[in-house]
Amino acid sequence: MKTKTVLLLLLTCSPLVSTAANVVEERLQTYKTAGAKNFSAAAGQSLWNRQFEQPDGSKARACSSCHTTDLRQAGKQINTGKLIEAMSPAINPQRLTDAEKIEKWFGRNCKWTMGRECTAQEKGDFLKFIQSQ
Amino acid sequence: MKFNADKLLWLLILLPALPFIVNAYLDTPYAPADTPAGMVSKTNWLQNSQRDFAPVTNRQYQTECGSCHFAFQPGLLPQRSWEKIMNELDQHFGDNAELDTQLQQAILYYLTTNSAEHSHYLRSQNLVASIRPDETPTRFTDTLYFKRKHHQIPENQVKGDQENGGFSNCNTCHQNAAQGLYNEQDILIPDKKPVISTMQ
Repeated sequence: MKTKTVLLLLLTCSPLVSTAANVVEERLQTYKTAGAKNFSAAAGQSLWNRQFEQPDGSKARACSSCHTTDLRQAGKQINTGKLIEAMSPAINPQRLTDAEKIEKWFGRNCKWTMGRECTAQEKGDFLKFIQSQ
Repeated sequence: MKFNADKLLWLLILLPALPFIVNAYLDTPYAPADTPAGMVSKTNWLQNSQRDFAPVTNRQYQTECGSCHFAFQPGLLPQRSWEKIMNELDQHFGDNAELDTQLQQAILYYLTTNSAEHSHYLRSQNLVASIRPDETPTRFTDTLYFKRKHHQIPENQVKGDQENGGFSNCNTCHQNAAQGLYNEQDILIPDKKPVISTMQ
């Protein structure tokens, strides 16, 4: 009976081991099979801060417009003013732990900011950059 | 009661599962439209009786839409408005708010089945009555009902307030807006002056 109890306890705790590092590694592998290579945090950072002109005449946007240039700080949605929690996994351990969420936000935010989808290379660079902060 | 290993085992299995069971219950489509979300107790009859609009009960809507802006209660717009908004998510008030089809359909279902004309709350009913049948407002702040309720607030005090998001951020002034409470006692405008006296 004792071993059974211990086993049960272990089973209940097991879902907690999925970490940000695992998820990012899995994403980077996926991007590699799509043709990307040599991911760089520096490239991610420069793209993060690059301003993109908007065809509809609204103010130029960058990732940093909402998330700020310091990923350890909370940001603010520029249209609604809603608080966006810090992107840095060191400050906010929830970040980069959910592959589906990562892709959802790449989908929305790349299109809104750059006017197109991000390439696998760009996504990998972004993840490296966010992870390093 | 006799305490033995079998009972302890059952306790170990059931205790961690309890929050999930409760969550599953709150998320079921059978829950009435006015089921309070999250921190608001389902059995708090006193607060229930003071509510102006049915609070948000759908976790997907709260997560997907509420991550960028105040999650407006479904009873703040009629069904046709929610349909229009949810079918134009790639151009969502100057933002891209696209969802995958499954999620978009799930949220659309929640919003349309709980929209103003399907709500038994008096304010939702009055709101519907204020909208012309040939109109499909996509902003609650464009409705006659909203304008009537806020005509005493100087426009320039709120509208140009970029920092606080203007009139669309209900909870900037209505402290308990997330729970569907919009009464005058709960109002606090950002410069910290209660506005009750000017509302009379």
